[in-house]
Amino acid sequence: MNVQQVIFISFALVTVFAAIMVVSLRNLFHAALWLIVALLGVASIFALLGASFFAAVQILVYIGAIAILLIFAVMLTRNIMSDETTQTNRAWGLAVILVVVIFFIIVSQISTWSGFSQPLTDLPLSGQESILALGKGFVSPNGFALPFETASVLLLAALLGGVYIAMDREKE
Amino acid sequence: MNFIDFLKDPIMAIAEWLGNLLSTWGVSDSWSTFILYFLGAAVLGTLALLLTLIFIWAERKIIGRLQDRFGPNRVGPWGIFQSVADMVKIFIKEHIIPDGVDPVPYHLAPVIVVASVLMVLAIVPLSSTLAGSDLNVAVLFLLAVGGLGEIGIIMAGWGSNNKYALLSAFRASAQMISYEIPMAIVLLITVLLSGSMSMSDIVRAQEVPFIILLPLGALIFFIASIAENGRAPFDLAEAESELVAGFNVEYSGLKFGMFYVADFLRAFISAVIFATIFLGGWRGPGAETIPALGIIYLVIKSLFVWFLGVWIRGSLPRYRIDQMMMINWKFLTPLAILLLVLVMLTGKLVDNAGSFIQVVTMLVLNFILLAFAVWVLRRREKREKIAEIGSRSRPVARPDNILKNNMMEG
Repeated sequence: MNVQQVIFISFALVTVFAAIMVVSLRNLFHAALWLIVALLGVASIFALLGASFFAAVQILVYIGAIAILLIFAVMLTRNIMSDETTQTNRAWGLAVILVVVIFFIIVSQISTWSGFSQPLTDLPLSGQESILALGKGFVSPNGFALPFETASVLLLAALLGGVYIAMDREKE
Repeated sequence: MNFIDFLKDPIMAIAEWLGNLLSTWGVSDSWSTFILYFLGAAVLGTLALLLTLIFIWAERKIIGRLQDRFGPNRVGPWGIFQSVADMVKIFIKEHIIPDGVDPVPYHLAPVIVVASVLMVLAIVPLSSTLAGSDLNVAVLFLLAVGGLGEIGIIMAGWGSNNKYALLSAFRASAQMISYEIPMAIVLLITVLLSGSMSMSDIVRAQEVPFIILLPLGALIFFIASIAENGRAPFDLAEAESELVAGFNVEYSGLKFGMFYVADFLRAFISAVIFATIFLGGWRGPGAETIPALGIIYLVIKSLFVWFLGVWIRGSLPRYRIDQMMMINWKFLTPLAILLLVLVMLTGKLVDNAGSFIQVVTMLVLNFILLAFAVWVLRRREKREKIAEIGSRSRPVARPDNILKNNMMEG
């Protein structure tokens, strides 16, 4: 077993364990912290795959921004921190069955794809080239220009909505 | 290999020797790389933590002199062993864990805060050959690691079970998140100029140091990094008069020491980052051929930037929280965005011109923008009367009041 395999297996186990802790803990603050561990685990798997851009963005956006926002929301919401609240409601059994069924459907569909069983190969690009290729892919019309721009419009709309909600209308 | 060659690049020579040694012992290549990186990280981290002892002493001494005091002067010559004495004291202090703490976040927080500071060192190219990791997204990594520090601070504030600590943690993380934005935009400009997100490429692109191309950007970055570190005049997370002493009130002994060390270490490491991005890092006469010189150049440049930070810390009183937010959102961020757009446009216009013309255009552009910013500030100052608490003859101690009065007297 080489180093990469050891690192991959340990990080993958940590990620899965953290994800289970997120949904099973009663203390919401602890759940948020475990979520951060899970996100870090995903980032480290990106890093192992050589997708350093995604690893950095995963940490920057999901931990640096979203997880912190989540923690703020949890802390500032009244009565949400008490341990009496349960994580589940009566429909949890149904939800488990649905999730398992959907999981098997997704896995069976993906496994029919020809690329599923191919071993991964290294990118023919080195250093900055892979990031330049990613950037060009985002903005080139043959690549992902339309989804990329649509996502930015969506984010702008969210931003405007946030400003509108936060605006102090009493003064006007 | 003779002695002179060894002196030219001692650390790489040792690494090579260790690598050969491991391979003769029959360790596979991937494991020996892992062991070498692990050792390198351990040595660098330990060295940085030990250096903090000297930085704490130097900072106390300098601030003492700035404030017309002696500073530490009892233990050893010029009080140089004061930090050692403090360290021993912190080691043997009783560990007080208050009632009702949330144990895991409480105990983990100091570790995360120190780790987030030390992790930054991984991407700094120390010389032309020596770099922890030549990451191709180093700039993003820098910002991402800052986010981890915020998590550590929130964990400390929450875990302490103290409302002052929690309030202070909120303040500190709000401040860090806010000031990350102008910082990120200025970093984007340097990425634009160097065409790469890797730190060693950014250093190599600085035939002309970026501080000459981007003096305004460097100023914005410097202010933002002071705020990011939570040092005076932006140290309102540990405002003693209102919040007791910040998010680390409930910590004692070694755990408090960890926060203290992280604070002082962060000041130096952000100076290293500034020197790498704007002052050309290890670049200097002869640094290409003799890599050992590069480390010395980098340390000298960083010490200079670090001294500026200490000077500011010793001179200015702190801002209020609304002023702090105003400086960021209404001044630094719009200015940084404006600078980014203008650099993009003019950079494309003078793309084919000679390098001298490019440098002059960038310089002129920066100064025009700076003059514009100062003009806007002056107009705003005239329009809005700041309500002063206290009497006219003894105005409130605010940084701009002090600057103004000094100018009038001088």
